[in-house]
Amino acid sequence: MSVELVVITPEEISAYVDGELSSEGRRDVAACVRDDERAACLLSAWQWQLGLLHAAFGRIADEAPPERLKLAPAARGSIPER
Amino acid sequence: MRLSKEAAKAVEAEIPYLRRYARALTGGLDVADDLVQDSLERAIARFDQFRPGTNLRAWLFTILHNMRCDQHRRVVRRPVEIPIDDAPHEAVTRASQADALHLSDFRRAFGRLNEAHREILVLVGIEGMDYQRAASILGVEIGTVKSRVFRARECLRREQLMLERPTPRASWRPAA
Repeated sequence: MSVELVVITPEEISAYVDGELSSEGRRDVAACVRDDERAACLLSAWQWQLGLLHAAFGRIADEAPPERLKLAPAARGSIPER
Repeated sequence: MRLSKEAAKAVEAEIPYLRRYARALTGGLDVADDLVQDSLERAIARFDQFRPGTNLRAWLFTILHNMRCDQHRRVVRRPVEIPIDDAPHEAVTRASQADALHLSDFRRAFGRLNEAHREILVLVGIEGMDYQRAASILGVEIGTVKSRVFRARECLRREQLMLERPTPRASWRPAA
């Protein structure tokens, strides 16, 4: 009887967070996280980190840009002088 | 070069995202907006190089990334901790005080990362770009993106641990 060992690297767990793995890869990481407490901690820390990233920077994109960054309406294709 | 009305509208819609990217890279509001302004000037001047139907945000981000690289080439800089603007965003004011403290620590930890790590976390973590697109913006291989994201996360985690606030302990008294 042979047992297939699948080695999951932290880099793959990181790629899992970003949805960059194939379905087989996702299955392997999910199994690893289920069985290995350290892998589960890593995944959880990075997911928490992602939430903080969005909380810290997400809303910047909702801010209205200052006048100097708006394209001049009368002359589209130029921006106001500094 | 002058932009058509549609093109100008499309570029304007991307300005908030350019500002977010620049802010995370530079840490400061004014210096970030200067970078965005320089990038917009370059983008407008070279708009004929943009291929319609491709991703405008990625094209603009590439320009901003290259502008930033040019700045680095002009000025030899040593790595410094950048203060990420701690402006009270709505998300923070709504959060509990403990959450706000976490966020403040997080911003400090993020500011301690090197620029390449901050940049990749913004592109992949905030903008939600896939590794292929991030690689194209940064002009690197996809494998480099994969390992850089991982290293950035680990560095950030370590910085977070170093800044971690001690959890208040419940008072303990010996049994009488």
